[in-house]
Amino acid sequence: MASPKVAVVGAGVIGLSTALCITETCPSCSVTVLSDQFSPNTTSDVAAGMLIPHTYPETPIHRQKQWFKETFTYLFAISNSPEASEAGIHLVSGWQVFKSTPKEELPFWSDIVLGFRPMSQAELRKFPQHRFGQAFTTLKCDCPPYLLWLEKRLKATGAQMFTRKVTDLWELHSEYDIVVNCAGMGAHQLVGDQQLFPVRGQVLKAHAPWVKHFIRDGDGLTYVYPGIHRVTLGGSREKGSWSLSPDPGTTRDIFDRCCSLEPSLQGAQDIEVKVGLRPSRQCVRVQREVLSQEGVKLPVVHNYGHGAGGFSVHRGTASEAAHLVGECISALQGSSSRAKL
Amino acid sequence: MRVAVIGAGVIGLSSALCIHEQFHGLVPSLELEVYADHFTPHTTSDGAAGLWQPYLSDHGNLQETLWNKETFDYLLGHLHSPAAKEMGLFLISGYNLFTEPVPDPSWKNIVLGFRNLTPKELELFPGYSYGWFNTALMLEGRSYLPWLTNRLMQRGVKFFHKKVESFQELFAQGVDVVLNCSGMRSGDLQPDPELQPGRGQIIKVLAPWVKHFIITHDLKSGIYNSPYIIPGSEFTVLGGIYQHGNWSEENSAKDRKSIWDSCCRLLPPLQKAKMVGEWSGLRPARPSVRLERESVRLGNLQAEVIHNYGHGGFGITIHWGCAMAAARLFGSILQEKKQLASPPGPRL
Repeated sequence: MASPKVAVVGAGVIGLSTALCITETCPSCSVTVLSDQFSPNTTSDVAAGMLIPHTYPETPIHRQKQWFKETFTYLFAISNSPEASEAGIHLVSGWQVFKSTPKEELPFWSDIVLGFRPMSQAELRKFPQHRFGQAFTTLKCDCPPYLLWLEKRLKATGAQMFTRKVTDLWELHSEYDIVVNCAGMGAHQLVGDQQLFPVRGQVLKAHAPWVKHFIRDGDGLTYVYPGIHRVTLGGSREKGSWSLSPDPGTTRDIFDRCCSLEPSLQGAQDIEVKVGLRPSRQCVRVQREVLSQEGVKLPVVHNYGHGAGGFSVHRGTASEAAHLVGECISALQGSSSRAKL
Repeated sequence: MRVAVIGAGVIGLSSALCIHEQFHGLVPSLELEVYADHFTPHTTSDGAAGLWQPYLSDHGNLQETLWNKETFDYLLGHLHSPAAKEMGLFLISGYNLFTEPVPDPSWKNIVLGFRNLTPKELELFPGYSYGWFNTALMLEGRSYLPWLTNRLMQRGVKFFHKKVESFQELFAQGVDVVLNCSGMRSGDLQPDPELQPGRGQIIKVLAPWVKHFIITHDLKSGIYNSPYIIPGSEFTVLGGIYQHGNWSEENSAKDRKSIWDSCCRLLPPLQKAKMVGEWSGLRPARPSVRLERESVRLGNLQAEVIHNYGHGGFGITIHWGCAMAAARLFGSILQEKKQLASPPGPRL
């Protein structure tokens, strides 16, 4: 197969980074991104893009750690290059604080972020309702800049992008050799995955340029994440809710909770409210599948279900998915393929 | 009791506020006036980035370390107050970088979370093999000085836009105590060969992705002669110039190039930052801060001067501790004049 035609469905952080990885690992592939939404209207655009991993209950920890490490290393290099501002990637330091000491004081990612250590008593005084905390430095991917930068890198490789709503993967079998499913929440409809469920998140984006640190409550529900131009204030976690409409009561509640972590936010201006549906799953689905219909085969690589942790592991899962695409190509070319996990 | 403060930078305004807060209730006749030829935004304090950080070594001057600590603790106490934003006060973390191991600074336990840099962090800064990370405070002069001015005006303190030529000029008008907070120009009022300009130049850029201060140190070339990057609330300051004895307040193209090149080497993403301004100023450098009383005889009257100048590149860092010390000196003057705990009497 001289030039395998690969379709990537989805143009959020997962779709774009997976497409980019495929162009890197398989330069002879022709890659096309198909999505009904592009930045600034993807779920990724709502997220703050902080590299603080979410723990998937059913993915082995070593695999999550590998994904995070690969992502962190990749972004770390960009953050210190002249491309950093265009790519929207920057370092940010701050604190994760707990009202009661967590069972696990050292998360699996503590040696990957920078300078991880417990907070001192003097530092904790800033958070009178919290007993314990961790200080560290990590990375943030601001969107839309990061997605736009990925799109630009993709275009430079010759990859194409089209606005198109794909309702069935089989639609693509005549035009493409391999389909990569990065449809996020869309996979619920697209491949009928009942294990995928939305966790609705509402956030505020505010102008508060004096806030230079992130603050996250260990319960994951309240956070202050300073980006390049705006600070993301969050949040909410409503399992099973599909509503994309902002809720005013939730807005008030988020603002109050964030102000109690960072009182100076009372002076925040130009507050915008956004809602996204985290495409949640007990484990991220990074998996090969061969669909079969009336004797016709369609190789599919899935890469979806990243829930609250998409940015933290995106590059790691993208490169794993790209590797699986490589396996699909080998299989199509008739070489023996190794069974992959 | 007429008190005149000369100078409306961070030292003059904070000393005035400290004295008024402590004594206006005890001395009903207290009249406070501020005289200056430059007010915000045209003072030296307005040009400073506003980072709280003392020099690397206090040269055994424990008094100054104490004043630095008092200032930090005072500001930290205001961090969660509604006034913080108006004051230009916020927390900031960052890096101090060295080419060789150095002893910990006098202020390591004053700031928050002081620690050494890890090897991975040092990878960010090729050429530097050692460093510190800590959380400190920013106090932006552009906001703090107007805030101080408003507090003073609310208290009825009067402001006079004029250049005072001598202490006598004020005493002749009936001023009882002069607070000399004239910074770089103190030498015009009373010669002081120990006071010398430490000329600095900075470039202001838009680089809102920079969330940390980065201060490099070259132990051979001395403080602030090595690139530094300090992100503020509206723009980021790039600097790294300290020229002892240079009185020029003109921006130098050579210094601009040196700052730009060295800061972009230090932080490559800055290459895409947009320059929005530049500024030069004179740090009022002195081997130690002059904070002391001086009695001046005028005929058969005794007038008092409290000197509070020579804060070099750490004025914002030390200002409140010095203001409190100046207030204590004022208190002792009041004691001597038996102005405290006594009804308003005939004027001196």
